[in-house]
Parts: sequence; C-alpha cells; structure tokens
Amino acid sequence: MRDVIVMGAGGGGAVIAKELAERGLDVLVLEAGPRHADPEQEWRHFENEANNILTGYFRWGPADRTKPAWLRETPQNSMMWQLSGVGGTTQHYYGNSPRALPGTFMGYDGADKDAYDVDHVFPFAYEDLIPYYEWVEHTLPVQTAAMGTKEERFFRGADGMGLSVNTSKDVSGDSFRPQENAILQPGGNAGRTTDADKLVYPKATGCTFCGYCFQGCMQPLEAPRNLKAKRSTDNSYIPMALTADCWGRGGQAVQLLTDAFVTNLGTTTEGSDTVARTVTWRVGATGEEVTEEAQVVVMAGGCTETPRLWLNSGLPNDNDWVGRGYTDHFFDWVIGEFDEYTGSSKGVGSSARVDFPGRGGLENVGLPPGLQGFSNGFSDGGIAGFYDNLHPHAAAGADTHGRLAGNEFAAMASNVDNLLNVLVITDDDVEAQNRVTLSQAYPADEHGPIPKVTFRHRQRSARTHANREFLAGKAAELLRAAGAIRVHRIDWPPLILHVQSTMRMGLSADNSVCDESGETRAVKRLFIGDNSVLANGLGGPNPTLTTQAVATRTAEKIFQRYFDGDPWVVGGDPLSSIDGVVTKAVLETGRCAAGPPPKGGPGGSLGPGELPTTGATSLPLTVGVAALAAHEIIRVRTRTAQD
Amino acid sequence: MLLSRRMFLARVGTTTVAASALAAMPGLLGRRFDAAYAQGVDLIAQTYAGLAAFWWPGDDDYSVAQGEVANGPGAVAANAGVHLAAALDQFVPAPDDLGSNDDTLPLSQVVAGSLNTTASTVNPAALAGTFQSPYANLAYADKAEVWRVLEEDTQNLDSSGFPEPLANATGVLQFVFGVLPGFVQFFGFVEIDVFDPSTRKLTSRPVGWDHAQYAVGMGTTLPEGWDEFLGYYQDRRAVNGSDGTGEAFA
Repeated sequence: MRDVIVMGAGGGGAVIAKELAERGLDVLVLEAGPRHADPEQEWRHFENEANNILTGYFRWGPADRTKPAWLRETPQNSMMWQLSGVGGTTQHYYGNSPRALPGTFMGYDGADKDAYDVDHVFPFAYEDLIPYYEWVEHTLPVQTAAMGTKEERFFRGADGMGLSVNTSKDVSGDSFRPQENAILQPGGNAGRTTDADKLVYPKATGCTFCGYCFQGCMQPLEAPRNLKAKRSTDNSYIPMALTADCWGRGGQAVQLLTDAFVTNLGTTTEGSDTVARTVTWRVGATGEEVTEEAQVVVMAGGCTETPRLWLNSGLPNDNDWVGRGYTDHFFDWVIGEFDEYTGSSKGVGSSARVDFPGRGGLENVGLPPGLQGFSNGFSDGGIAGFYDNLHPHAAAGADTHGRLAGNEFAAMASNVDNLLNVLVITDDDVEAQNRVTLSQAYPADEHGPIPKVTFRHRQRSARTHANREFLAGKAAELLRAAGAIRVHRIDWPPLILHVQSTMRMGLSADNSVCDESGETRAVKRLFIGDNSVLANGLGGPNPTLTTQAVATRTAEKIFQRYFDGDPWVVGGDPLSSIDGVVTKAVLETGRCAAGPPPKGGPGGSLGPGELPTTGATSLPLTVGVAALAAHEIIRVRTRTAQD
Repeated sequence: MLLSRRMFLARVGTTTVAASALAAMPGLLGRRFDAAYAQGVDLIAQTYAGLAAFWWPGDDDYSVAQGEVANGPGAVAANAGVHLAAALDQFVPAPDDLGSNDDTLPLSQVVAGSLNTTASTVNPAALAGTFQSPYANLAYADKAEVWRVLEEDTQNLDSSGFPEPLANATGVLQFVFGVLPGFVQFFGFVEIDVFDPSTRKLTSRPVGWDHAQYAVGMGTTLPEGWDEFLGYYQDRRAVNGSDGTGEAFA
C-alpha cells in the first residue's frame, strides 16, 4: 500500500507530493495529461500550436493529440481555459504570486473588515498562513518583477491616478506595485538582446522577455529544467519531487504516472468513519484500468475535475456543497490604444498590478496577436455601436463597450505593440448557484459522466457586480492617465481561468466540504490539495501562491495526523528549487528530461501505456464502463481485501 | 420580460433552435449526417467566409459584398472562417453508441444553418444574392443584427419548460454565439493557416502578424527573447512582508 496517492500534478498537487516525498513518504502522483518532458523539442512559440483549446499541446485533453479534447458542458456564454499535463494550468500562468487579502481570513479586524465576503472566510487567521507563504516564496522562488515598457506605461497610469506604491508583500490599502512573480529575474544577456545565440543558458539566465508565458516556459534554452525562468510546477516542484532522494535530507523520490486519468475513489469503513482507501485510474493509451491502495489520498485535479470525481465516485454530499461556491474573479478586460510604443507582446505576461482591498485588483497583461484578437471577441456586452446584449450603460468610462468588429477592430488590432491591456480581477462572492454538477445533456465519456459548470453571471451578488463595475472604471481611468488615446471595455463573460472554492474549507460544516486542515469532513484520510479547497476568491489576488501555501500546510497536517511526523515549516529550512543541489540532482539523474527514465519505482516517470511495477492491480476493461460501474467494482474489491 | 416561446421561435426559427440543441446533445442523434454535410460544403464555406469578413474585413469579395472593406488582407485571406468551421467540427466528441469515441460531430453545418436561417428573417432579400449563403449576402449592419438576434434575444428565451434535453437550448445558444467571435479573431492572427505539421515550421508569414505589426523583421520565426528589459521600478529588486519577514529564508 502506498503512503500517499496524489491525483493531479498541477499547481497544488505537485506541492503536496514534493513536501511529503521530502519527508520520506512513498508518494505516487497520477496525472491525466501529458508529461511535457522535453519542452524544447515538443513546444513551439506559435499560439495555435500551443493554445488551440481543441488541438493544441496545452488543452484539456489526452496526450495523444489525434484524439478529441475532453468535453465539459458550460451552459452559458463562457469559456474554461485549463489544461491537462504536468504543471497543470501553471503552464498558462504568468507566475503572478500575490498573497491573499487579510480580510478574507478568520479573525480579521481591520477598519475595512465588512468590505469582504464575510460569510465565507478562511477557517484560520491570515497570520497563520504567513510562514507557509514564506516557505513557498523561497522554494519557487518568488521575486520582484523586472520592468519592460508596458509596465512603465502601467505605472505611469497608476501614479497618475494618485495611487501610492506598495513596497510590501502584504496589501493594506489601495496601491500599485510590480508583481511578485514566480519568474527568475533576468541575468546575463536575458532581456538585452534578440540574438538567439546569446540567449542560451548560461549566457542568459532567468526571463528572456520572450513574451510567451501563456505557452509554457522553456527559457533560457539549454537551461536545466529546474532553472527555466517561469516557476510553473513542471519547472519547480516536480523536478524537486522526482529527485527528493538526492539532497541528503532523507527524502524518497515520487513516482509520476502520466496519461493516467483517475475515474474512481474507493472507500472503506473504520469505526464510524468513511475512509479513503483506493484510487482507480484509466491508462489513456490502452484503456486499461488500474487500482492501488493508499493510506492517504489527495485530490488535486482542479476546481472542476475534483468535484466531478467526487460525484462520480458516489461519495457523501450531505450538505450539497460539493461543487458549489465556484469563484472565478469575474474577470473583465479593458484595452487602451496608444500612439506610442507599449511593447505589449514582449516580456512577462504581467508584471504590474493595482490592489483595491475589498474590491479586487487590476493587472497589466501583454499578449501576442492571436490572444489579443480573442480577448476582444470574447464578450458579454454585444457589439460596440450595435447592441449591448442587455447590459446598458456599461462603458464605465471607456469609449466603447462590447466587442469591436469590422474596421474598428481592424484599427485597434493594427499594432499589437501600441496596446495596453488591463485585466479586471474582481473580489467575487462565494455563491451556491455557481457550481459543478454532472451533465445530464451530454453522454458520459470514457472517464464517466462529464462535468457541467454553471455560472449565473448575470445574477451574481450585488457586491460582486459593484466591485466589477468599480474596477472597470478604474481600469479606464488608469489607461487614460497612462496616455491611451482610446479605451475599450470588452465586458467579458466568465473566463474560467482563476478558479477557486468548489471544495472549499470553511468555518461551518453547513457550507463547506473541508475542515481547516484540508481534510474532507465526510471522508477521512482524504484531502483536497488544489484551488478548490480555498475558502473564497482571496479578495482578488491570483490564486496559485495561496493554493501552494495552503497545500504546504495541508502536507504538514497529513504528516502529523497520519504518519506521526512533526511539522517542519515554522523554524524550518526550505530548499529553493533553484539550489545547486537540486540542479545537480536534475542533471545527474536525468529524471526530468526526455529519454529513458528509470522505470517503475520511485523517481520513475512513466508515460502512455506504461504501468508501475509495484503495488498496482490491473482490472479488465469493460467496454463502455461508466464511473458508477467502476465504483461498484472497487467497493467489491475493497470488501474482499478486508475479508 | 421573457420573450414568449412563440415569438422566439418565429424570430430565430424552429430549425435553428432544434438543430443547435440537437447538435449539442448527441445522445439524441440516431445517426451521423455526413452526406448532408457534404452537399452543403459551398454554402457552409461561404457562410464562414461571410462571418470572417464581418469580424475582420479586408479587400476580399465578402468584405466588398457587406460594404465594410479595408485595405489589404483580412480574416478571409487568413482563412479564419475555414479554421473556425474545422474547430466546430472537432468540438463535440461523438458518444460511444454512435461509433468510435475518437470521432466528433459536425457542428459547423448546424451553426451555419443558424446564421443563414436568421439572416433570411433579418432581411429576406438575402436569400438571393452573390452567394449561396444568405448570411454572406447581408450588409454589414444586417450581419450585426443577426448576431444581436442570436445572442441578445436568446437571453430572453425561457427554455426551462422544454423537456430535457431541450431545456438546455438557451445555454447552448448563449455559449456558441458568445464564443465564436473570439475564435474568429484568434484564428485570424495566429499561424494556423501557414503551419506545416510535418516540419512544424511556417510556410509563409501569417496574414495577421503583418497586420498587427507583430515580430517585425523576424520572418517566419519568432525570437527566444527581446531586448525589452528596463530595470526595476524605483530600483527595488525585493520586498518583505509587512512584518519584515518576507526574506526570512533568503
């Protein structure tokens, strides 16, 4: 029996896996998507090749790109932009690593305490999370972002609005600042040339300002995997997890299986408790089903797949909060046209932000032209100049509202490097109506009934709408202060990208799934390790850092509660993922690169069609097997094992 | 005020609603309709070209026909409509009982049908024109009106009283017609039309790159980095937490 099985190698699961492997536990990580072992060979800078949501190498779908993407039902104008594969959606993120707003935590007593979603706060104090933030900030590491032209323009606008500069990692008032980013600062030739020969490691270190953060990070070329600029977990926590036996700390390397889609979580009974025991996954390349047992199971498939798996496994849902409370920061998008250079297509995706505690925030976003086009056409506000899609009087200080079409679009898109985009990140309320259920309209796929993600965005709370309108107005104000000659508010529908709180931890058992440790209330030895465990939308800050801090805290709880271990964070000594001993292990073991990996055992990294050599049991594949059927098989097997 | 079912169906057309719902609910489909799809290729291709011209016009025939033109190539030249149709046909995996789960359903003809049906109600004269596609025959403002009907009027459709799975029709229409413009404008500016899968290189520079003045001087390749580093705001390279402990482990 494994010590721990972690389902999902994304932003949160990779953290728990690394932390527990470092403590010497036997950890198996299952990832539904591809390994991405050799980015410099597998990836390109081309936008469609990377991010076509149906066929790109970053899609929610199987590793085999000749097969169709996996479908989710979204019964409203909206889009989910997530991906499968090692790194998860940190492959898309810009490394933005702000801490949450203190007002979203238990016991906050600031003057603005009533400005937040006070009914859904974290079940512990902000101060309690600080040591875990610091641990993650050092491990990734998180650094103050370097500046390019688009950031200079953004700061000019924020300063012109009369906002002050925040020189802390914590937020206490309306202010602007460079992002705290999980992106290595540029060194050597990085950021100083376009000459490819000079941008190879070690002539260049850290961020080369290539501008393709949304397409994964393989810069600088020839750098060891753990020294790539962006600290997505494929470049940071996973290399550490795969080499945890090499640093002289008593660790044990994890075993990583890709192309392994978990379809069922089986339970047993201990006294009066329902307890997690088995995990069943489907091997994508062969269709074979495999089951393993573990002492502790961690669900980390994300805000949509984690509740889907829960529901497909028939686990208890007595308070009906599994899948509810989905927050997404109810984004909006405001574009400024300039008659001067902004460098919008170059550099880190976002390196500047404004925080408005109790409202949310703004950040600059630079894009290549395809995504720039998409960001204009994706709207819930109709077509500028023709109709407002029943959202009147919504320009919020901009010159236009809704999508641009025809020659107005052609003019806006005529120079991508004269644009400045502002992303509106709303402090949105946890609302039961925004949720994940199982689709009734679409048939099940090979992994069981598919998820249905419902956002009733026109019916969101008054506070959420007010915050969004306030921020859209501030975005227009910032762009004008920065020198924009024309401002367009697109009025996005839900772009489900910052995702939180569908398996939320909370103070009350009436409206939460997990307790303060991240363990589910209904099933013991089962923990949630991804964004879905967050209690709320954090007040607007990008969620990954807080997910990783909470995941670190959860790993400690697992180690203490079920493995008689001691906590390690407070007073501990974290190892940075860019430390020389990690680099040495990455290079010497070859576990993080393409080519023949060690098979089977710890430190191994198995791909499509390959099965682990220890612990797993193959089950015959039943044609058309549904998750519920698989669930029954597992229950039978579990009882047999106990007998 | 909710639009009545009768008013809605008259406006959008029963065929549109039913077809869209059916396309999105493959459990209702008893068979594939490849033959019908093949017969409608010209009509469908023209519909998507007319759609592309609306969202990003150029100097092509479809832009001229709608009365909104621009100098140089636009989305039609970039074949954005072709790639949108292909994407729609890759979107919904076929259910297992209709064949291999690796197949997908041809959604593009259903969407084209919706556009053309609605176009003929917005302006019946569009049934006769340069193109087989009524939508492609519309003037620019009428094309915008088609979008308004499909996107705005469907918000007022209360389909919840329909039996399952038609109760989902409103959501399907909102999703499909909400996201299509973004995809057209994405495909117009990416490399998809000039990408050679066998070499994973470009055969020429994408139309959209030139229009957007993207990576000027780089030809068909993209650089590994830019000379864009301006330093650090106020020369500050690191910050601490408010309690001064942010660099505790540094």
